[in-house]
Amino acid sequence: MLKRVAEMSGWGTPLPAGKGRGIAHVLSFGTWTAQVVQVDVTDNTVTIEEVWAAADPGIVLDPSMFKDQIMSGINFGLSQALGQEITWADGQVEQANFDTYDAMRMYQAPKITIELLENSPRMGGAGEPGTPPSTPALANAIFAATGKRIRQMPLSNEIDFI
Amino acid sequence: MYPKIPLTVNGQKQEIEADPEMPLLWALRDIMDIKGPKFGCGVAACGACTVLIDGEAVRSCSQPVGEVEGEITTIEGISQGDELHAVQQAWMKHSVPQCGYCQSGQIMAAVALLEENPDPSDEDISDAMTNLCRCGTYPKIKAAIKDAAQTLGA
Ligand code: FES
Ligand code: FES
Repeated sequence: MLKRVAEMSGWGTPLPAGKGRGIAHVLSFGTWTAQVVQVDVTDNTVTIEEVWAAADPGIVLDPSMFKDQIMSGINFGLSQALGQEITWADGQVEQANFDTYDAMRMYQAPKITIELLENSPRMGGAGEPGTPPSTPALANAIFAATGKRIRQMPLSNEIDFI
Repeated sequence: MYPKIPLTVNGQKQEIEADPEMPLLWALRDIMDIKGPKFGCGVAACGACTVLIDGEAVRSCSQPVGEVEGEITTIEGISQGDELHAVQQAWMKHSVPQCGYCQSGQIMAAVALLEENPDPSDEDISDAMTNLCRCGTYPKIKAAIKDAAQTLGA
C-alpha cells in the first residue's frame, strides 16, 4: 500500500522550491490507508494541491462508492486542519454554527486520486479510513516545503491556508 | 392577522399569509410544503437553502419573504416534466452526492452559474460555488458542472 501510494504520487521525484509532499498511513476501521499530500507554500500561505490515497479494505463490493467515501473522508480530515477548533468560554462552547466552525470549500479542495487494493484478508470500512492520515500527511508536506513542524490542530493556528 | 404576500413559485402564482420578516425558506418549507430547499445554518453560511430569484442564486434562509421581488424557482421547478435538468442528469451520471443534504442547494447554485457563464473554468466554478458540502464532494461537483456545461452548450 505504501509502495502503491509512492508510485501514484511520484514520491521521491524532485519538486520546485516552495512545494512539498508528506506521507502518512494508518489502519482504521479495518482498512489500511496511506496518503500523500502535496502542498504549495507561497507567501507563507499553504495551498493543498493534490492528494493521493491507496486503501486496502480487502474485498471491495462497490469500488466507485468506496472511493467516494475515501474522498469524503480526506476532505473531512483536511477541513479540521484548515481551521476547525472548539473553544470554551463561560462554561460553553463558543462555536455554534458554520460561520464560526467552517469546513473546506470548493476553492480549497485538492485534486484527489484514489486506488484500492484487495489484499487484506478481512473486509474493512469505507467511511472513516480516509480521515485520520490526511492531516498528518498534510503536516508532513508543510514540513517538507517549509521546515516548519506543526504539532497541534488546527494547523491554521500556526500557518495560513488559502 | 398577517398580510397576504403574493409570490410566484415554480411558475405558479400564489398568495400566502405570513409575517413579511419570515425567511423565505420557512415560507417555502412550512407554508407551501416545498421541501427541496434545506435548512443548514440559517445565517447564509452554507447554501443548503439556495433557490433562484429571477435566475439568481439566493440563500433563502436569509431572505425575508415580504421583500422577494421576482420569480422564485426551487429544485422542484427546474425539470421539464419528467425530463430532469441537464445539471441534475450530470449529478446522477457523476454520482455526486454522499449524504445529499447540501445537494439541492449545490444544484441550484450550479444552475445559476451556468445560466450566467455557460462555459466556466475551474476558477469560475470555485468562485461561484461557495456552498458548503460537509461531505467534501467538491471534485465531483466540479466534474458534473463541466459535464452539464457541455450538454447545455451542445
Ligand atoms: S441554511 Fe441558508 S445558507 Fe445555510
Ligand atoms: S453531500 Fe453531504 S453535505 Fe454535501
